[in-house]
Amino acid sequence: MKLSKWGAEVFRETGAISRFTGLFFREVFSPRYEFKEFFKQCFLIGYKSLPLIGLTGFIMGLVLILQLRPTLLQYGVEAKLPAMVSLSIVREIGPVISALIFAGKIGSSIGAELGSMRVTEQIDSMEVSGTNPFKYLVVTRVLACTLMLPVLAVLSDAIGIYGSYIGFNIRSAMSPQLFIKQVFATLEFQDVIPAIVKTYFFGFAVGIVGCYKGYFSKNGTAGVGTAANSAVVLCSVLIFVIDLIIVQIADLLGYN
Amino acid sequence: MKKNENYNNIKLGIFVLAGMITLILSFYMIGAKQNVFGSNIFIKARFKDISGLTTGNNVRFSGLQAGVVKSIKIINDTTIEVNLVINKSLQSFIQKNSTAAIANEGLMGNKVINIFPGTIPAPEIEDGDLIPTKIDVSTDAMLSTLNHTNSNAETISEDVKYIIKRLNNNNTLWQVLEDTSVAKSLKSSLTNFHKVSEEINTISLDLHHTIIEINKGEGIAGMLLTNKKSEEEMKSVLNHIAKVSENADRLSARLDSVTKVLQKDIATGPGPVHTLLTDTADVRKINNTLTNLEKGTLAFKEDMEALKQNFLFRKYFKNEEKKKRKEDAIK
Repeated sequence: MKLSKWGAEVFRETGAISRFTGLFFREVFSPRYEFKEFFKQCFLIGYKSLPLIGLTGFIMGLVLILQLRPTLLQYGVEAKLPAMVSLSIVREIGPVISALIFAGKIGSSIGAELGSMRVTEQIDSMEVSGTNPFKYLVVTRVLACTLMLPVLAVLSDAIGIYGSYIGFNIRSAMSPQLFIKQVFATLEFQDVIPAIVKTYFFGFAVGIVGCYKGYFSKNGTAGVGTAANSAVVLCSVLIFVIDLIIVQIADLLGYN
Repeated sequence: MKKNENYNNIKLGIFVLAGMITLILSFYMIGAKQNVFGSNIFIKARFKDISGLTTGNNVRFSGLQAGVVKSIKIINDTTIEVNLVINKSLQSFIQKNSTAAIANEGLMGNKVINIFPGTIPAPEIEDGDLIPTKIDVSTDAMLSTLNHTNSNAETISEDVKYIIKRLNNNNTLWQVLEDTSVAKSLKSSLTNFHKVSEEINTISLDLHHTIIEINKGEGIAGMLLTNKKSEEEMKSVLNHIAKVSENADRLSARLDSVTKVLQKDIATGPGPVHTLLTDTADVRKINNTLTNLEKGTLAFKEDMEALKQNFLFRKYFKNEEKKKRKEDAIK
């Protein structure tokens, strides 16, 4: 009985998010465009997240080198360390870690912001005042998320590779020129392009889920917390699901 | 408020631009590696087997990164054409008679095309040129040789196995090996052999001495073999012997003729010998004569015995007997 109820809830939620996504696509192309709000959101979502994502990227690169070093040393291929770390950062770790941090920071903040607006009936009042709240609040945020996460991921990759260079030079010594040369000797377009494309989907998922959870939050102030929390959880899960799907598609298309 | 927003937008612009530049820069770096940008020339090389070469593999000229494999096209079942993108800055160094070969980058690395400079001066390559290729000793070839060796080793080991099996099943050999009496007899034979060889040794020593003596000219043989004087004497002796044998020959011839005459005489001649040997009547006569002679002798013996008993002659015979006894005693 409980299980069927839970199952029905999952299907209802999936359907509701799909409708919400459909609504977004209808609204995004129709004028009037809220450029000012869009840029403001871009600044808040993109620029403000850079320090956090940059820091995690840096640490990931550094730690990855330190962790991989002993194993590769066993096989006597320490020289392949830059190639290996850059490949893993660019292909998988950079985009996914950035998206997860992004979900934690932005997904929750959007959920909480829209949820509190819903609870305090600001959204309703917007509708009354003639402003399209969906366009003004949801479309701008989702677009900003979709467009900013790739930029963040690219910068995170770069910072991560810099971090791995630092990490490599803790124990061994290699000139930055050689390090960069080795990194780019390994990377191919087929490594970079699917990874970048992936981040658009991650950003979109974070934006949509955060907005949906906040936009339809219920039960007063407690509902705001629930909205923020469930937005983060669902975003994180979705990021991995999308990652799985996109890697499969890239593989099918021969990008591996 | 407005100023603050502008300020934020500038920050956002810098942020987005930084991301874009990073991405474009990395694309350029990757593209530069594949010679997507910059001026290039295209050359072709035809191989029989490209052993896993793919587009994007590196092309090296004397070990220098010169370009990449642009495309691979199969022309027929034994010819595969590989299009190479070569950096234009290297064009003046690569000559038309340079050869291309497919090799491995490291032990397990990617495939690379190595272009080796030609040994004879030739004009530089141009866009669209087809350069000759050569086959490098590839790992695959080495492995196939190794495979051949392995199969040989397998056959050999099978044979060895069969031989050992047969040896194991064959009791005779093991009996020979395990029998102690064989060893003993072998030992005694060896001892005998040792003795024999010692004897041979002494004999050979003696022989050695003898030969030395002969060489020195000592002894008869030595004298004969080494002395010049004796040699001449020997010659004269031999001459004598030859003369003697000649005389003997003549003598025997004469003897022969005598014998022939004699034979003839015996067979047909009128002499007494012939009669004696061939006439049976004479033989009977002779026989009778001999019988008569025997009878006569017996009668004579009786007469003599009678004479011994006769008193006239008894003394003479007694004296004779005494004389004989004396002689025997002296002996």
